[in-house]
Amino acid sequence: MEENNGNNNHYLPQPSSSQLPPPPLYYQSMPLPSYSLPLPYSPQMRNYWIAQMGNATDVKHHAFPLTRIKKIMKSNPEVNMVTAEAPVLISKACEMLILDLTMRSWLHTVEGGRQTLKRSDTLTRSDISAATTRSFKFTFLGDVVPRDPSVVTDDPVLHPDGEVLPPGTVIGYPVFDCNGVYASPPQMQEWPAVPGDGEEAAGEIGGSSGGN
Amino acid sequence: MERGAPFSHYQLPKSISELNLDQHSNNPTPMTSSVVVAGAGDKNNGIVVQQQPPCVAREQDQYMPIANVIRIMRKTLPSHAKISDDAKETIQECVSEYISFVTGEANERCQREQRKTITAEDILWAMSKLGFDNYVDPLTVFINRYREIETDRGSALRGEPPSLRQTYGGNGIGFHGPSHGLPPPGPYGYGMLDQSMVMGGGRYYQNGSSGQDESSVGGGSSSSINGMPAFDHYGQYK
Repeated sequence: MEENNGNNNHYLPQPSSSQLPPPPLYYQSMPLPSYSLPLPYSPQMRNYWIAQMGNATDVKHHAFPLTRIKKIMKSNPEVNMVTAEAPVLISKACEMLILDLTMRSWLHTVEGGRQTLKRSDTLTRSDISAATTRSFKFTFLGDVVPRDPSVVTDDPVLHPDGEVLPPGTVIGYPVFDCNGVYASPPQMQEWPAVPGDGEEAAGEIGGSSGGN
Repeated sequence: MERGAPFSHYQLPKSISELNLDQHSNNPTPMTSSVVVAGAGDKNNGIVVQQQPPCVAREQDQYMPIANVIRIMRKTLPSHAKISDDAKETIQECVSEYISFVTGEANERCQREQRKTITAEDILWAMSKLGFDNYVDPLTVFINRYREIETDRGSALRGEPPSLRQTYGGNGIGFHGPSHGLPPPGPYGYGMLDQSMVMGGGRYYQNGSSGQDESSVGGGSSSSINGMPAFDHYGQYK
């Protein structure tokens, strides 16, 4: 496990207006990753990179084998025939899905590291679980990825496509706390009383009061 | 057989996986692509070096190649990021589930309209219905460009850069309207350059440059060249 970065990080404030000022103590105690980016995992940037994939100039080189895509499509016995373009389109869509899931999951990776008071740079299955639980449109992955009970799913009415996040999330606050504070869903779920939540609460209070 | 080793992520200890990660990070993108193709060929030929050949063969057929998945994941992660083995396999499973999910929805529409063949339009319709609206416009741009190249397959030289530029220019004309979904160009110009460098390849630097061009044009939505009016409703990404 090498940790050879984080000393020369620069944080660029996001130009869009934010209701909350960025917490300086957070960035002093928690060095950012080794890139200088204006919050690359915000919904705007995520949609931007998804759009970039559609503009790829190399349309002849497919990211995934089309025969295997066709085989998965036809694993459904009701599916009869597909045009030649359908696997090509799905191959590109799968690139977008991986990009989408990875960006959302990495947001939880960094958040988890922040809560445990040490920087985490390993994307894990639990990060994917938190990301898929949070967004309503990934409900279909319930059989593949277990639900994270500590994460509240976006209300489809407040966030129809799961793309518009509360302002606090954009500047790096914990997703569920921010969701609870700024955009609480109509049916607020009760948080389970587990030690992890206790640690999170303690860490959050300490961070906000400047005790760290 | 040696070329197959880096792609045998199943049932391998983590130390070897880390070595594979180092190999991936050290190799340039084109070489990785060629190796991936060769690896896929090996797998397709049925050469299995695992202890349980039948299970692995069937398992490999229902998932996308994990090296391709990892390469795409790394496009968006910082250079120091690590990906655990269970995360890689989880994304693999998510992709297969997504293909089945979208295909099932597209097939339902086909059956309602008493058609037997699933088309690209059915796939796009299914994605918009299932909540992946922000994928539809980029995919529309992509499939239109794909069709243009397929149509000009006999006459045009596929590998020639000027034709690619013309193609991109043509698609650029289709972009218009305010860009709510895109960040302002000024401060993001520097950021995008860093993003390109972080993603580790000259190939993606071009994408970054293309992004800047689009930002200057102010494109936020695209119009379908081949006429798919049903999807114009999703011009905005939000």
